[in-house]
Amino acid sequence: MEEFLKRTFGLLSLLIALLIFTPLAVIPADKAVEYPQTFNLFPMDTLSPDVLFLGSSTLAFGLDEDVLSDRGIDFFSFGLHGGSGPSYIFHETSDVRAKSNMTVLSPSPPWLLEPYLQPEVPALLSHSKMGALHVLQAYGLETFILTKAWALSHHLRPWRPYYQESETLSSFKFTSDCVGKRGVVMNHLKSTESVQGDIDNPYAAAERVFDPNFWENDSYSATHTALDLDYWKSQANHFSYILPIPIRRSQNATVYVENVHKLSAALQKPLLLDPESCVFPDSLFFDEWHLNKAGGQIYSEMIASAPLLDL
Amino acid sequence: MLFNSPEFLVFLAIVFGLYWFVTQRNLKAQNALLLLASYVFYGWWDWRFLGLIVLSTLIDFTVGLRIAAARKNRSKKIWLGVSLLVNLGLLCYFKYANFFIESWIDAWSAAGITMHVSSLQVILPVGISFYTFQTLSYSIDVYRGDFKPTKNIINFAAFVGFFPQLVAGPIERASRLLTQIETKRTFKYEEAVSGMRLILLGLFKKVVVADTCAVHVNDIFANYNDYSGPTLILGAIYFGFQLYGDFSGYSDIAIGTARLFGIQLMTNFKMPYFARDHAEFWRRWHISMGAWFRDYLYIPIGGSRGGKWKSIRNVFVIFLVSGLWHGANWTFIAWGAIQAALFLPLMLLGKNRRYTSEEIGEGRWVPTAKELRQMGLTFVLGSIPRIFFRSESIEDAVAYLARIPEDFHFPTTHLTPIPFVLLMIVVDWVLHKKFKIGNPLLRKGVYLIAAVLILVYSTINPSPQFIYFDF
Repeated sequence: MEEFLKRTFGLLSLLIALLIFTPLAVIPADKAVEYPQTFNLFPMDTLSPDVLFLGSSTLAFGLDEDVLSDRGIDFFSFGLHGGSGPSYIFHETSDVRAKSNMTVLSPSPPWLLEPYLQPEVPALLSHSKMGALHVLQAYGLETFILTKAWALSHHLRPWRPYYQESETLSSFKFTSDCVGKRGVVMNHLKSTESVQGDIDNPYAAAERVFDPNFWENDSYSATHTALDLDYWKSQANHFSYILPIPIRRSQNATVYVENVHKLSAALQKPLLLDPESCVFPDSLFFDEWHLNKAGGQIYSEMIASAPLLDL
Repeated sequence: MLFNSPEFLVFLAIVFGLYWFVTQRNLKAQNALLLLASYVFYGWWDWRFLGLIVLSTLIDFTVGLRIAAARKNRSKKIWLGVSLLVNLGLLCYFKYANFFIESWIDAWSAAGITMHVSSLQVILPVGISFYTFQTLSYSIDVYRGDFKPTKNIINFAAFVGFFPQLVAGPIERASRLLTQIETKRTFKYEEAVSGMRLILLGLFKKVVVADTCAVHVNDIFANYNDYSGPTLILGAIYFGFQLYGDFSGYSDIAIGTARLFGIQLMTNFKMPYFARDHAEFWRRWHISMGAWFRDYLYIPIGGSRGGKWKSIRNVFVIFLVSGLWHGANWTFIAWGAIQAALFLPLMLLGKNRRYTSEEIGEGRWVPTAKELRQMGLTFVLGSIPRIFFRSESIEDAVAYLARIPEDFHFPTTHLTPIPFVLLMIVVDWVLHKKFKIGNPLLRKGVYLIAAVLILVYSTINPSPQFIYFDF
C-alpha cells in the first residue's frame, strides 16, 4: 500500500508541477489576448475593407451581406459576443483597422450602461474561447490545443486567478461568443432559420450574457447608468463613426439611446444612424437582441443609405 | 457522479482511504462502506431514484430467499415471476412508457384518427437497464439452483449498487461479484496499479478520443444534408470510435476502480474493431450484455437448437430485444434487425465460430493483409447499424445513407478527429499485443502525457456524459 500511494502521489505531483510551472516560462498571463492572433484563429491580416464594422453579435445578426454588397459597399463585420468588450475587439482588429477607410463602432448596450470591466475581460475571453474550441472546430477552423492547457494551468493556480469570478463573467463559461465569430469567420450572414438551428444545437449554443429582462430591470439600470467617458475618450481613436444597435420597440432602451447621443457628443464622433430610428418592431427580432433576416435587411438598407457611408 | 469529473476523484480518494485504512479489518464495515459510497455516487445525480434501486434490491433479496425456501416448483416460479414483474415492470415503465404511448398515437394517426393523449414524459433513471439485469440474473440463478442466495442484505445491496459498475456495467453475475463481496479482500499492489492504468486508459478513451469525435459526430449527424458523402463516411467512422471510446472507456474505469477495492469485474470489451467477422465482433463487444442475453434469453428460447427457422427466429429475437434494451426508439430496433441480418449468414453457413482465439495475428506484430481486409469489412458493415443507432429517426438514417453516394468530394472540414482515431487504433493494437514499456522513466512519461491530454481535453470537449447512461 505504501509503495502504491508513494507512486500515485509521485505521478500526481509531477503532473501538477508540469501544469503549474511550465506555462509560466512559456506565456506570461498578461499576453492572454494575443492567443487567438498568435494561432491565426482569424486570418484578418489579409483584409483591407473600405468599411470595418466593430461591435457585438448584433452585427452578426444585423448586417445583411447581400444588401450591403449590392449597394457596392466593401465591408467586413467583426462582431464578437457583446461581453467580449471593446478593448479586446480593438486589439483583435488593430491590423485591419489600419487598412480600412473607416471604422464604424456599434456599441453593445453594456459597454455604455456601466463602467466596463476592462482588464479581466480579454483574459476571460481567452478562457472562454477555449470552451468554444469545439464550436470553432465545427466551423472548420483550425485551433491550437495548448492554449487550453495554459488556460487550465492558470485556472489551477488558486493564488493567481486567471479571471475574476463574478456573476457577469461566469456566463462566459460555454461558447458564449461563437455566434459572433461566425460573422467574422464567414463574413456573411446565415439565414435566420439556420442561425436559430445553431442556437438550438447544444454544441453551438450561445449563452445569453444578460438576463432577458435586462432592459426592464430597474435596479440594474439604476446602478449601472454611468457612461465612462474617460474610458471612451482613451479609446476614441479606434473608430470613426458610431452605429446604434437595433432595439426592440417593447424594450425600455431610453438609457442606451441617451448614452449613444452622449458618447457621440462627447467624442465628436458622428452617428451613422439616429438611435431613435433603430427602434424596430418586435416582429423583426428572433430573440431579445438579434434581428431576423427581414430585420437585418431593413437595418442594412438603412446603413447602406446613410449619407456618411457614401464612399 | 461522473467518472470524468473532479468530484469523482475526491470521492474515490475518500472512499479508498476509508476502505483500506479505517474498515480494512472488518468485512461487514467494508461492505457497508461500499454500499454507502454506492448510494452517494448514484444519489449525486438524483437521489430520488435511489428508491428504485432500494426497491429492486429488497424485492430480489426477498425473492432469492423465498425461492430457496420454497419446496414446490410452483412457488419458486411464482417468486421468480414477482421478480420479473417488478424489475421488468419498472424498466418498461421508466424506459418505454413514452415510446409505447407515442407509437400508439402515431399508429392511430396513420389510420387517420387523431388522438390527444399526452405522453407521460417519464424521466429515465440512470443505469436502470444495467442494475435491473443484474438483479434479475440473481433471481434467475437462484431459481435455477446455480447460486445459493445470500442472507445478508448489506452484501446483497452492495452487489446491486456496487458503484464502479452500477450505471453502465459490466453487468455482473452474483456468482462472480457477490461472492467477492462476501469474501475478505486484501490490498494487492499489482492489482491496484493495473487498476490505475485501466482508469487512465478509460479516461483517455472517453475524454480524448470519444469526446473529440462526439463534437464532429453531433454536427455531421445533425446537418447531414449539408455534407458530402466522404464527410458522412467520416461521421460514421467517428461515431464508431466515439461509441467504443465512450463505452469501453467507462468499462475500463469501472474495472480499474473495482480493482482498487480488491474486486475483479469481468472484461467487457476485447478490442472489438479488430474482429474479423461479425460473429467475432459480438464476442468482443459489450461482452457482459451479450452473455446475459445468451444465458437468460437465447438459450431458454432454444438457441441454435430446433432447426434452421427456429435458429433464425431466435437470432432475430435476441438482437431485436437487445436493440430495444438500448432505448425506446425504432432506430434501436432497426439497429438490432440489421445486426441480426449481418450475423445470420455466418451462422447459417456454420462460420460463426471461425475466429474464437483471443489474439488476432498470433505470433506476429502486424496483422496480415487478409486480416486487415476482414477487419475493415467488419467495421464498414458494422457502421451501417451504427448509423441507425445514432440517427434521430429511421428516416434520418436512411437519408444519411442515401446521401453518401450523391455528393462525393474530398472533405475539407471535420478532419480533426482522424489522428485521434488512428491513435486509438494504435493504442488498442499495442495493448492487444500486450506490449510493455520496459523503461520505467519512459513508462511514466507515457502516463504523464496521457494524464495531461485527459486534463486538457476534459475542459475542451463539452460532453462529459457517457452515452450508455441513457440506456
